[in-house]
Amino acid sequence: MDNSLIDNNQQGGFGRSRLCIAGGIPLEHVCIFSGSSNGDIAAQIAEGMGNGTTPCLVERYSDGEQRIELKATVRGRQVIVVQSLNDPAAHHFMELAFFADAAKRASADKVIAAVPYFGYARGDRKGKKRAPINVACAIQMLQAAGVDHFVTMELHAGQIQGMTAGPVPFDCLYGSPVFLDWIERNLDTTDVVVVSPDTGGVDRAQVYARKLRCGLAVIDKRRSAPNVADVFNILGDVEGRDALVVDDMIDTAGTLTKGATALIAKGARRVFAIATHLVLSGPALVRLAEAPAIHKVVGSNTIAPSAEVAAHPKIEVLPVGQIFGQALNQQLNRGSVSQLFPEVNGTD
Amino acid sequence: MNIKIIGGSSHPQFTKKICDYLGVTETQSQSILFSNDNRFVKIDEPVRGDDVYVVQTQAPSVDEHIMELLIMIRALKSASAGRITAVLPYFPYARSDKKDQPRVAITARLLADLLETAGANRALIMEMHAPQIQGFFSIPCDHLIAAPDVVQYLKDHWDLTNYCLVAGDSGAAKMMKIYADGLNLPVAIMDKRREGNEEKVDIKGVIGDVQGKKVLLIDDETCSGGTLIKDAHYLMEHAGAVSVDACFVHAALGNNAGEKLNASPINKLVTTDTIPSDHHGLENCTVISVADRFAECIKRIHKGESIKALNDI
Repeated sequence: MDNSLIDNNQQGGFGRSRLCIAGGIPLEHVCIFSGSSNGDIAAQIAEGMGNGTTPCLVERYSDGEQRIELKATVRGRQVIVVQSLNDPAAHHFMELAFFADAAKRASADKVIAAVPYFGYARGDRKGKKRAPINVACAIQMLQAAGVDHFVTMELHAGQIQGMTAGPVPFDCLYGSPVFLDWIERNLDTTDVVVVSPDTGGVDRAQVYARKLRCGLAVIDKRRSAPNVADVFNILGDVEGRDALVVDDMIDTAGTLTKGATALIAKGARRVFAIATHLVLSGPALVRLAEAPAIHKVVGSNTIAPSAEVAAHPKIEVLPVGQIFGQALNQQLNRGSVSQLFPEVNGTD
Repeated sequence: MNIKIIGGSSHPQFTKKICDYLGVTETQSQSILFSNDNRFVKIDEPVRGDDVYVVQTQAPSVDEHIMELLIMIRALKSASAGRITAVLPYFPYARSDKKDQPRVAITARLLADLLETAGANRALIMEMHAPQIQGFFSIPCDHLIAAPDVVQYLKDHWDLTNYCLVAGDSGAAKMMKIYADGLNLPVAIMDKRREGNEEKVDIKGVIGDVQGKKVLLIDDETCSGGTLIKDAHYLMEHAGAVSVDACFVHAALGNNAGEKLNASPINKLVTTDTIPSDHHGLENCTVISVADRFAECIKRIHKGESIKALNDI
């Protein structure tokens, strides 16, 4: 089997010929299923792996429950389930759990959950008030359902990788190669400043500042008194530069638009928001459209963009499926995932 | 259930303070090292059905004290203790809490697993490196912060006019916010790049303005003091700070750190007693005791009362 071409056309007609690296797992032993949250990225991931998605049935009964059926044999196979946990999060979550359960019961060798957007990740601590740790709970429920390995992108906090039940591999990928490429193609990098949207996000922003060899600024949001609007102080120099606000996600865009206004007031030329996950819930689209301070939002397709997002004049959605495809190939071929992100791991 | 307090050998004064606050006598135990370097622990009093709190923190040698704690917990478990709470003023190995480099272990998670495996039913920890570490435990894990005691001390004893808080790095910036809000002071963040795993850092600059300001460096812990000293030099010589003081919760100081800090441009130091630091001979260093806060928390856990207010500023 070493270095030979594997033809997996027998497998329901979805496969393609592909070189298998010696010692790795031949692609005919891999099935890639797509949940209903994000079929486009699943197709990109499969394509990045030189494969196609495996047929399956995902239906909803009239009472709201779901029916899942894997339409190809998974016995002894590596099963990859691609599912983002965006709105409706609970529904997408259960679907992923059912996929894992189905694969395990059908004697899959290993179930890899490829979760481009890991919902519930903001619930990563107890906080002050008897709160659950949502993401620890979600991860452990998925493990109970049969997930053996997690692959996700731009986790809200790196510590989430340690919240599995027992030591289970949890790979975190980054959108930075795609975003840095966009920045270098579209902006004059001698004239930009990278901005952390809060004092807690400096390490994420630092990766970009280091790679772009530019300055770093931080938005320091302060509550001056109860019922008084927050004050946005800008630490660092943004005068006359394009400001790149780097965050893991944009949800309601409230803090972002206020922070952008403060950046412009401090003399920033234009404000670009770079965020992997375009959650964009509630008033986000209106806020972004109406905020003169926001020049452009650059995000990724970890969450399938709605028609409104795709048509939004200020939003650009970059595909990151190929990064998942590469990482999963590294996993299956016993290669290195960290080498895909030299800028993050400090090896460049 | 009766309350029982039992201390490991890392920080007897801290255990005593907790006992004094609670008005209980420390449960006696013995911990010896055999000539083959294996540890032996024996609990000298019955603990059957009791609510036991085992106090252990970081002190040299760190691994030895962790092993001692694990053996104590297991000994208590085997002795049918009713409930065992591991009380860790400082949670060792907490700094490796994510896979921020290829092929590294999340040691904070490993330690959480070890405590549970040994038999701990609960954990009580102060100022863990990241609040997310609570998610590494599948047993209840209560988290105290030092900020209420530290902020109160600074407000009562320092003239904070013209002060600016500075975080030594992006990690410290996360915890600085609570101090900045509590003290209502402006902030700045050191922009630096860590090189390798030794404490070698390359300072790129300061994000924010400290010109003409008195600086109070804030961090959750310091090891060698070397980074703090480098920051202090930079702030005074390149960023226009008029003076530099430092405040860190955990004095996880290594050898010679005391001498180096005493000879540095840092004027005043503020820390807590989560780790014994008196042997370092630090001058101008105020050690705020957080033992009473721990004791109060233990009392509330024992009585089944809310501990939420203990973290209010």
